[in-house]
Order: sequence, then C-alpha cells, then structure tokens
Amino acid sequence: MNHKMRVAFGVAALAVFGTMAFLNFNKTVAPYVPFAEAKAAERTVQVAGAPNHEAARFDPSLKQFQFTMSDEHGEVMPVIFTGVKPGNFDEAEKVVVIGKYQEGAFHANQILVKCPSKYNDATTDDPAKEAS
Amino acid sequence: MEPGYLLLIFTTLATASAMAAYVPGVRKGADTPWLGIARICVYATALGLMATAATLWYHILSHHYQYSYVYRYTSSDMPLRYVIASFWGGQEGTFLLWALYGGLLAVFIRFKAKQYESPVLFFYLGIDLFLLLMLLKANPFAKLPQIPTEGNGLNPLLQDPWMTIHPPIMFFGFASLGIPAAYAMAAMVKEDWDNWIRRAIPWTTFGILALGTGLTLGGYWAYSILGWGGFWGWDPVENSSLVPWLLAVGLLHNQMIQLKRGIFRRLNLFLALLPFVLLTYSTFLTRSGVLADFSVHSFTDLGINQFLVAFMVVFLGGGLGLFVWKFRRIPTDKTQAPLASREYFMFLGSLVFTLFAIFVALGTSAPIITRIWGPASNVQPEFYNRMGLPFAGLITLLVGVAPFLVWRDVNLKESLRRLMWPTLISLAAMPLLVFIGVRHIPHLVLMVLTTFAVVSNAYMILLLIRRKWRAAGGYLAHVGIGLAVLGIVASTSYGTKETVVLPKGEEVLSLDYGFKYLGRREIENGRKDAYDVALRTADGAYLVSPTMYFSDFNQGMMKKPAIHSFWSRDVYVSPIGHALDPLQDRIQTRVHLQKGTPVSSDGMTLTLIDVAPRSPDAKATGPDGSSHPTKEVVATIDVLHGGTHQTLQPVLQGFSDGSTNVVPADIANTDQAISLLTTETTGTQVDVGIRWPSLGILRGESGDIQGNKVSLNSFDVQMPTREGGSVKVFAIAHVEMNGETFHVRPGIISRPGDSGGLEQIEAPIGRTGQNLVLERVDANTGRAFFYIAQAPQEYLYAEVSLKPFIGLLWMGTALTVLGLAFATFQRGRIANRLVTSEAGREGLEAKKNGKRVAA
Repeated sequence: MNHKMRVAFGVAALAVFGTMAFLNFNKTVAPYVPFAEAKAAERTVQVAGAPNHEAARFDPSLKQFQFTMSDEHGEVMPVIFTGVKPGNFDEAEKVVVIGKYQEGAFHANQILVKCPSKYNDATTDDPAKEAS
Repeated sequence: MEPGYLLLIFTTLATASAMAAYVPGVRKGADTPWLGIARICVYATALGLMATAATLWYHILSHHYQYSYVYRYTSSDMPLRYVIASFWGGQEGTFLLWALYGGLLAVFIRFKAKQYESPVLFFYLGIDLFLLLMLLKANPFAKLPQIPTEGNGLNPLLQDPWMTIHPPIMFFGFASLGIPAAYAMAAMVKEDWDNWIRRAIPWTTFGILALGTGLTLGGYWAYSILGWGGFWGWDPVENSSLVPWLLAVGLLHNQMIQLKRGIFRRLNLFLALLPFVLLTYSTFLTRSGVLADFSVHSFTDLGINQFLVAFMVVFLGGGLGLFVWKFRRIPTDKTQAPLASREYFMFLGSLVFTLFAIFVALGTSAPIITRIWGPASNVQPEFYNRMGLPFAGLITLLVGVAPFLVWRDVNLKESLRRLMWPTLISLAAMPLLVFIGVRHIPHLVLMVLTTFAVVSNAYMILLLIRRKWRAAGGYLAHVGIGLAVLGIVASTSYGTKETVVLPKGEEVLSLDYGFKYLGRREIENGRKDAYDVALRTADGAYLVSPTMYFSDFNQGMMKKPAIHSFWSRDVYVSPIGHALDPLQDRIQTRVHLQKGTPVSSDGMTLTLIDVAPRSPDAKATGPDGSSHPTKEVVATIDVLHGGTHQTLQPVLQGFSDGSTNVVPADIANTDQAISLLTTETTGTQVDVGIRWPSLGILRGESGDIQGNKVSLNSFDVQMPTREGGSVKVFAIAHVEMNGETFHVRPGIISRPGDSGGLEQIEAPIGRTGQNLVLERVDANTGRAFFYIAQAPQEYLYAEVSLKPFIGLLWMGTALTVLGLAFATFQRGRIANRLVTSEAGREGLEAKKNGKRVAA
C-alpha cells in the first residue's frame, strides 16, 4: 500500500466516522421544547418544568410513576414514567422529562432531576437570607 | 483582610514571579542568574498553597461559620472525616485542591526535570496562575454579613467514603495531565523533538491512572449509593473527565511509538496538548452553567466564566500557536510503518481512542452546537451507546493482536503462530457464550473479541514474567480493560429488573429469587431506617437491607440500595417507598354490601340501594388538581343511624392514568363518613369504608374511642436540630383495651416546604393488632386528635434487578489501575535513569566545550 492509498483509506475511514457521528447525532438529539410544541412533535423531546409533588405517586400495579408538571409557559401536563421515582425527585424544584407526547399525557422515558452534587446548589447561594 | 486571602495574594505573586524568573531560561537552558530566584518562588508557591489549604481546613475544622464556604458545606454534627472532606465540597475548594497539587508537583518537577526545568515550569505554573486568579475572584474565604450559628452541612449523598476520596484523586489526575502538555510546549520552545517524550510518558501514565481511578470510584459510588442501578450515565460531568482520559490513553500509545521508533513527532506534540485543553474545556462546560439545563448536576455561575474562557483561549491559543509556528521545523521521518507492525496497530488504537474522545466531546457539547441553528438540544445516551459498541470492538481487536506483532517489521508467520492459542481459546468461548444466553450477534462478536484481548494479553504476561516482568504493567492494564468491557456489556445488556411490592412477611418471587420484607429497623441512632429483606436463592437465604431516610439538607427522602453479590451476578434491591396502607384516607371498618341486603356495622345499618356509573362532572378536578376524572361511579346507600334513615352517595372517581380517588359522603349527626372503595362490574356489590371521627383531648384528659379509654399524659416535642429541620411531636398516652393498659407513643412529624404536611408515626397498641394514631395537634388549644385503626399492612416498594457479571467491571478496573500503577513506576524509573545520564553527559560536554549546551 503506497502513501496515496493510505491517505485515501484514512480519508474514507474519517468520512465513515463523520457520517456515523452525524447520523447518530441527528437521531438522538432531543430538542428542548415547551409542552405545546411537544404535542405537535413526533420525535423524542425534552421539557423542563416544575413538578407538582402533591400529585406525584407510584402506581404499583401499572409500575408507573405519575405526576403533573407545569412548563415554562405554565402549561400543566400529566407525566407518566414507566419506572420508579427518581432518587432526588422529592426535593427537585425543576425536572427535565424526556420522551414523547401521547394521548393526553407526556410519556417520559427518562426524568432528569437536578441532583445537589458537589457543585454549588443555587438555593444556598445566598446564605445571608437563611442565616438570620 | 482575611489571612487566607492574603495568602492567596502572596501565592499568586509568588507564582507570577516564578514564571517571570523562569523566562530567561526557557530557551537558553538550565543556568541563568534568575534560576535561584525562580526556584525560591516555586517553593514559595507550594508553601503558600499549603498554608492557604491549611487555613481553609482550619476554618472548616473550627466551624467558623462566618466564612461562607464553611457555612455552605459543613455543619457541627458531621463526622470528622466528612468535615475534613468538605474541603472539596464546593467549587472553590476543588480549584484550590487542583492548584495545591500543581504547586506540589511543580516542586517535584523542579528536582526531576533538570535542563527542562525552566520551560516546563514556566508553562506548568501558568495553570496554577490561572487557578489562583480564579480563586482571588471566587474567594473561598469570603465572609457572611452575619455569623450563622450552624452550617448548612454537606449533602448526605456525598457523605460516603467513596465520595470522600473521589475528588482528591480526580484532581490529582487533572494536575498530572497538565505536565505532558507543559513538556510538549517546552519541547517546541527548545526545539528538542524527542527527549521530552520519555520524560512526559510517566506523567501521561500517571494522569490516566489517577483520572481512571477517579472515574471508577465515581461509577462505583453511583452504583452503590445513588440507587438508579447504573454506574455510568453519560452525564456532562462524567463525560468531561472521560474525554481527557480517552485522549490521554491515545497520547500514551502514540508517545510509546515515538519512543521506540522516532516517528509521529508532530502528531505527539499536538496530541499532548489535547487532554489538558479538553480538561479546561470541560471545566468550562461543567462549571460555567452553560449546561445547567442538561445535566443532573446543578451548576452555578461563580462569576468566573471570563476567567475560564481566558484559561481556555490562552492554553489552546498558546499551544496551537506554538505548534503552527514550529510546525515546519519539526523533523519528520519519511519511513512508513508497515501495516502489520506493532507501531501501526498502536497508532490505529490511539486514533480510535482519539476519535471516540472527539465523538463524546461533540455529544457533550450538543447544547452549545445546536444553539447555532435552533433551540439548545442535547443528545440521548443512545448516542454514545450506539457508537460505543463498534469502538469497543475495534479497540479490543487491536489490543488483542498488537502484543504479538513486532516493531518495525512484519513477521506474519511468527505473529500468527503466537496468536494461535489466544484465538483458539476465544473462539472456544463462543459456544459457551451462546449457551449462557448471548444471542445478539454484535454482542457476541464484541464479547469474543474482548475475550481474545483478555486471553492474548494474559498470555503475553505469562511469556514476559520470566524475562521482562518489568514490562508487564501495560499488558495487565489491557487485561483489566478487557474484563471491564465484558462486565459492562454483560451487566447492561443482559441485566433484568422488575418493580416489586413486598407486603410485610410475605415472600414475593421475582427474577427467580424470593424476596420477603421482614420489617423496618432504625439505624444510626434513629437517623435512618433500614428495611430488612430476606433474599432467598435455591440454596440459601441472605439478608439485604436497603435504607431510606429523610434528609434535612435535601428536604427529601434519600434512598440507598442494597446489593448482594454472588460470584456471577449482583442482586440489586433499590427501595422506592414504604407504605402502611395503599389508601390515603385511613378506613377503620371495611364493609362488603350486596344490593338490597342490610348490613349492620359500627352502630348503624347500611343498605345498598344502587350502584351506577355517571358521566363525570367536567369541573371536578382530580387529586392532582389538574386532570379530569374519566369515569365516576356513584353508590346510593341507605344508612339507618339513631332511628333515622338517610340516603348517601359516596363517589369513586377514575382517571385516565389508572388512578382512583375517593369522594366520601358525611353521615349526618355524626362525625363519621362513608367511602366507596371498590365496585363489582355487575353493579350489585360494593365495598365501603366507614371512617370514625377522631377524639380530641387536652393534656391530662381522657376520652373514648370505640369503647376503649384513651388518656393523654403529656407531649414530647423534639425541635429541629437546626434551621430547616422538622418538628416532631409525640403524645405520651395510654390505652385501655380488652382489660389491659398499654403505654403508647404515637407522633407526628411536620415537614417544612411545599411537599410538607404531616406524617403520622403510628404506635401499635400492644399486640392487639390495632394502632393508636395521633392525627394532629391543634396549635392554639393544644388539643390532640387521636383515632384507633387496624394496624395496616406494611409494604415495601422496591425495584429489584440482576446485574450479571458486573463484578468483572470492578475487577477489571482494579487490574487496570494496578497495571497502570506498575507501568507508571517503571516508566518513571526508566525516565529518571535516562534523564540523569543525559544531564551527566550534558554537564560533561559543557565542561569540555566550555560553553553552554542548548537543548
């Protein structure tokens, strides 16, 4: 294999890599939308909003976790998640649900809960207010 | 001004001075008149950073809550080890830790680098200078306007031994990966194209070791503490450490090629910059708040974004500028590596790692990239998982073949002869894999390739162990990586999970195991509850105890899974909740009614007249306050009480999501209510519940509940330990039932916040099967309201899952760490010897020629 062929081969390999990456990217990218747009969208989307903790419950027979959530425009939508309540859900003021809208409810396949990690928690940023 | 802040200023000046004093030596070599000053400034930097860290630790350990940092991350009731660890509980602390490692490593380099000292330390201290400037802005010694009496405390999720050592190891890796980059820049300035390689290799290896260990600890923590069952979530924070790690692995293998063959000079200078540049980029991504909506971690902007951007621009711009400027001067070796030579395979491996790193970096940056043409979006985990499979396949193939290829040359016959055994063994593994259930072709191919990589490298170690055991570290790391890949594929692709409801005392079969919930038990002085579950297998029974507790810090329930490891799998029990009764309203009497048949209960007679569905009232709202009921069933019941008839209509509402809501009907002239619980589809039978009124008594009074005398002696009020805690009120009471007197102590917990409300702690009345419940305490009158209820059935909700062969992942990563540690040690030893002889030779020549030798 001479030098030119090697270069051609390398370029071809990179092209395959680039195409795979691009296709994958387009396939798995989930835009961030409010519920109004989620209703119209057919693909997987994600919606950020405030969960209503009072309405959250786990249904053991259906093995579903259900709650309602209001998005940034204040639109309230029931959210159904097949699975268990995420670990830090109870203290989350904001969650991100990822999934599709179907028949009156948002069916989430993933719930992102802002977990208080070692990074600073926004709620404790102003300790002067709390520490009186 | 604060002593700590003064120390920071002093250290910043010392670092800047050291850099300035090293400038004359950057090009000329070792001895300039400024060298002595530069070295003193290096020591001053390290001492200053140690003193700064000691000051922060002093404030933390002395609970000086006037400091915002101490207030935010510590509290007085934390165990000592977590108080010490809260040093790296926040961003400022981690920057300080990173800078501290930088300062200490700078001293180390000052003694080891010899003629590379000036240029390497000039560039390397540049990192610390930036970190220190950021610390001056985001000051860890900032004070609060008032002095709080108690601190906020460290997140209990982070109060875990693994989490305690994870950040210090991670940031050691961060600090080490700056060194190869500094060496590359130094090499370009000195135009010394080969010698930097062997000096940088130990640092590259060590960086991979430290970062890899940190990543593993983080993964193990996620698996064993967070309870979502996984060890890797492709979260931006995780990715941002993975990308530099992947790049460093690529760099290491390419550096090895240059060391052996003297090729890839240009590529290595470029690759050496990447891990560090990507570290700064990921620091920016995760700490600037740009990904705040896309990560499960919370980030806040500390107001240092401009520093972070400058940090990136200076290092990327400086490094690339230097590279472009010197590019033409870098000598290249025109000889081509033969296709089946070891260097070619190593190069391909390095390329695959680098490409995968770019791929992960692109995915992590998706919210920034997509912002260019539309709303910010991020990619789903499948993005990485899909590409991960072919990447892992390529890597394991290369890793399996490469050890048996020779440098420079192609000796196919010999290589194939040596590869025969590993190939045969891994092919023999194929039917076994199919037999144990691997039927998915890509998984099967990947697992066979991985087995091949493991066997091939293990075989190589066997061959080496007699003659060249010192070179075995790398192969051991390969074996470890192979095992880890097997563990990852097996546990994620062939794991099963199920959600179970475990009634107390009843065994439930799930995933071929028996689970029996035994009961709740207080641990850690009552701060947490352990839920004992008996796990029964074909040949034994084991106790697993997941825990749940209310965290005042997070204002929520924390749930920790329990894991039982068998040799071939982990049984993972993740608690979801604990409930006493599936109904929100406690029902004291449950009555089954048949149409037209009167039933007497609780001093009244109930007759079901009719039960029928009706169209839901569109205005009515469900229990969640939003959705409308989709169906409603009304029971019409005649109630004969105190000689008068009344007709009541309790309602059962159904919702589209399958949930139900009970709308009770009050029984006139009593405090009782009747609820419709279930209906038969035939419309002739219903179950109704009768709720008794609660008894309200003051302290010292007694009253009657269902013929039992209940007396309230006193209250036991437990105030919160600190602000934001919960108030607990217990009633010290006794109940006379069946001629016996029982002392009982029911309580209520009032939780502040939105999701607050009251939680009843029911107290069993002896062994009567009844509980005394304190419903509420009127804050104005001090009147306590009690009722007696059937001791409810206790349920534990849990998700149980099987993780086949996940042990291979932990064993593999441990072997990798071991192999890397060994390799770091050996590479360091070799580099040290060569550098010493180099320096000796140089000194000799310098004396002979009577002039300074550049480079």
